[in-house]
Amino acid sequence: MSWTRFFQRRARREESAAELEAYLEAETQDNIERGMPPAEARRAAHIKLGNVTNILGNMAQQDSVSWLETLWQDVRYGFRMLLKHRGFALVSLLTLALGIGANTAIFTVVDATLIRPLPFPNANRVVMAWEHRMPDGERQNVTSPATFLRWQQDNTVFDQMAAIFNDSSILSGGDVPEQIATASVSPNFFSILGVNAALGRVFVPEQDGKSNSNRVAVLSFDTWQRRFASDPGVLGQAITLDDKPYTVVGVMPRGFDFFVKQGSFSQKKPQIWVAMNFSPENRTSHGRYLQAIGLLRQGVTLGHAQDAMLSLQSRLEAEDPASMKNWSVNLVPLRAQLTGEVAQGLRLLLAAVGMVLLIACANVATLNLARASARRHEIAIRMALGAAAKRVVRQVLTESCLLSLMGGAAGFCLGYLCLAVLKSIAPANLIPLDALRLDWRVFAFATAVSVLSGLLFGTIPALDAARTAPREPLQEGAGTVSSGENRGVARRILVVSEIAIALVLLMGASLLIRSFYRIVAVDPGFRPQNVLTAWVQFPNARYQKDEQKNQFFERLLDSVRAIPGVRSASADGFLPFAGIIAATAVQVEGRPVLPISQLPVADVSLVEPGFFETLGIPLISGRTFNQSEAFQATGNVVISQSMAQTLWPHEDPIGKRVTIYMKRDNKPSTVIGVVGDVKHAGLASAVRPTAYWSYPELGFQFMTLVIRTDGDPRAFIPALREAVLRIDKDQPLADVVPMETLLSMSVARTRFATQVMAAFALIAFLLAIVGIYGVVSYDVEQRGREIGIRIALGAQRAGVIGLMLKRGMVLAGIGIGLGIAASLGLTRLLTSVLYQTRPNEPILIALDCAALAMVSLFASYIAVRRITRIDPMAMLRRE
Amino acid sequence: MPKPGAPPLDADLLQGTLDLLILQTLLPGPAHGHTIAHVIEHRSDEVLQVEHGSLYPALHRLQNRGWIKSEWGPSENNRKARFYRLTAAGRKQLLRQTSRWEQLVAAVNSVLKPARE
Repeated sequence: MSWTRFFQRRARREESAAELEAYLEAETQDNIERGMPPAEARRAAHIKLGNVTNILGNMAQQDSVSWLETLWQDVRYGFRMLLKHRGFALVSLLTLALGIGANTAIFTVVDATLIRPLPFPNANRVVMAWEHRMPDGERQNVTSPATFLRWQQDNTVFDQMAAIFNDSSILSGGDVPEQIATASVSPNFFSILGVNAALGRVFVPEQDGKSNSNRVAVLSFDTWQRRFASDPGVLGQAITLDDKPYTVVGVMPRGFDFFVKQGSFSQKKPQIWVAMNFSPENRTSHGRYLQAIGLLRQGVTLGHAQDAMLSLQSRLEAEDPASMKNWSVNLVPLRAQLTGEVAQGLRLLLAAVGMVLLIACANVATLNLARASARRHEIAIRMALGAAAKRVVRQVLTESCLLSLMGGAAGFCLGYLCLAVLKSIAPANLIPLDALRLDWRVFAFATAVSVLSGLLFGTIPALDAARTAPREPLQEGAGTVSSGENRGVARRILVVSEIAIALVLLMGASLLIRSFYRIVAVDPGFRPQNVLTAWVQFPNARYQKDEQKNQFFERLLDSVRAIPGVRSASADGFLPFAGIIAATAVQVEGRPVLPISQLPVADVSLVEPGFFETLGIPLISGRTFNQSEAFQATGNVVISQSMAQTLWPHEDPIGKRVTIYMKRDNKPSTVIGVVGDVKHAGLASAVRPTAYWSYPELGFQFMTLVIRTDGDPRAFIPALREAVLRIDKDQPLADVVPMETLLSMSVARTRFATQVMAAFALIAFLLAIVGIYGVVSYDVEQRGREIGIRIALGAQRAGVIGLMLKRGMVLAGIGIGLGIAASLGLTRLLTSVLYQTRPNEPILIALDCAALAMVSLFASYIAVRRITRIDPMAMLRRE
Repeated sequence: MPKPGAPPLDADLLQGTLDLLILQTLLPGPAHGHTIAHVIEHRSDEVLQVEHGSLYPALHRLQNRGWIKSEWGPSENNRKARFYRLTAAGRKQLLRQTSRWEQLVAAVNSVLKPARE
């Protein structure tokens, strides 16, 4: 066989015809020479040659690529069969598509997040160094400049260490001032990661960050595009950050970002990096705000490094017990740090989607087995008519492949869709959306698994049928079902496992859903409806004096309150659900003085008058701040209910005095009121004791406006911006969001995981239903004759239906039983992500089982229903 | 015409025999199908009757295997005819097949001899 011949076969056929014509002429000529009349001569020549069409056909046969032509026949026949059994084909296709699609999508996410190497050449040697507040406090706490500098100088395990401070700054000088996320980093930060600038240079340790006079900045690619129109001339240009001039020295490559949210003040990916500069007065040991990264020395293991840093830390503790007591050190590899938050959730999803694939394979197998036994008859007839066994098996194989390939294609499209949906519902910063590309490897894997299961379960029975003597199945059709029973067992096992797996997924999903609704039902401690919030931050240079800041807020709040539709307006230092808070030790006046590390801890915030009223935090006793406290520090403090209970369990806290270690002078404050608790760190978080000072007490450089409005708070955004710019044209507003959005963002991740899990459970549920429907309807088909006889002998149809239903329900029952056992083991893995939900809630188990049982019953009934249409006489005659 | 006592044999009787005969016929020089058929019949004293219809598929097959080549040319009476010619591979194949044929004949003879005696 040769392809050239195959493609030239038309020309060759013409040539052959010409050749035979030439033969006929020559033979005719010979015959004429022998004395025949021309007509007779021609006829004799024809007789001698034989049937021209046959000869040409014989020659053409040699030119054709025969398996290809019969393949094409098989494919066409296969398509006809699939069209004929549309239900089977459609269900198989859908099953394959769902299994392959879901797996492709999820694995793509897993690959982009957990498997693909981090985009930093040195990633494997970079670790984050945190302080660990003992004994069971925060394991990843930021550190102080003094500690970091000692780490940097005295460690024995790192080639280099760098500090990072994620900040928020005002970028001015353009048309509009802009609040932008920035990071102040040690000059060796980029070289630790091993990343260079795309344009210009990164910081050089010997020259950058040496003094205040030499301020340099590196831009992110996005900032360069957006704010500087991709102008290569930006290098050497001066930009203004927080009213201070910086020189741009470089632009990072597209997609470069390094952001660890833990301990970050801005909570956002930095857009501009500036070289960090430790002035002598900055090298303090109080005030922890730095993240630290280190580049492990070649050959140093994480365990070794951890030990070395621990002994260094105990030396620091011995030198300065006041600030270092109970502060240990915790090293975290960079990958674990960057993916740790999502890794567990992703593994969960991966397990769930793997179960979906299992069910899909089982379903394809079940369907194929059902078909194969139905086909024994067809195969027997074809073989009785003389078809070669090889040919029959190949035909079945072709059909399986056809279906699998179509399923794979549909799965790929579905995977693409799934990915698009995932991208649209995934909360920001959860997964690296830009890096998501449909992953061909997993698509190939999922396709291969499904295709293999299709081939295996489609072809083995066909082989079996082809090997059996043709007579047997023909007889079988007329009587017993005995030899089909073995295959029946295989299908039953598959369906039982499907139902069990579906139940596990269903339980997982219902637990997550229940937990999610318990979270969103939590009272945050305030009324978020119709509240607009906006971040205001002053550049240090222009608002240095407290009066300036006080005045700014007085004027701003006055003009915001004057906007029609605004009911009240105030401001808060650390807004609930915005992600940050300051915490410190507190000492009650008159009680034994303990070291700071052994004192109770409270969160601290600053508020403008009217804050509690605006946000709807209830006043429990005493009073809140009045207007005069908006202008001067009076040393009064409002505390939360839980703080009152922690510090004064059986006393009235009003009028009591407490030292909150956050001011320079640390004078005691007087409690003037108690307000309700607020779930500051998120709905699922524990309530923490909180102290509120009035704004002038600390005079932060930033506050968040809170404005309660009539109607949709979004409608007030333009008026708010205008009010701010009227007071200071260089003052930007950032993060203008309704409080309800903040609230819903805080549960976005949980919602996302719940949605995806629920989708998988639904798919698994549907597939399992299809499986049980298939088995039961096959049973009914196989037992048509038996049923006919029973009915003919007077059995009630209802009784027969009941009998068949029972068979389906027994399978469902076994599957459910196994599923319960499996879920009791597996859902325990969910414990850490569940909120006030035990992994084995009896009500949920009962509900899920009931749902699965009901739907199985329904699917069985649909399958069995056709019994009612059986005419017993026709059924008996047909056999 | 076949002689009495020697009934005509179908050249297809032994598989591959026709191929061998064709290759042998082409050894002296190129010929077209009609000539090949006649030469085989003539040389075997009409004992071997070539089914002319099966000759052409055989030629086709031999050509596909690369043992012969063909080209169109004028026949003896100046008509268009397709001439076949042995290739080098065909020559080798002829040698191989001839020797195998002789082995076969010898073997068959040695089996048959006892019956003759």
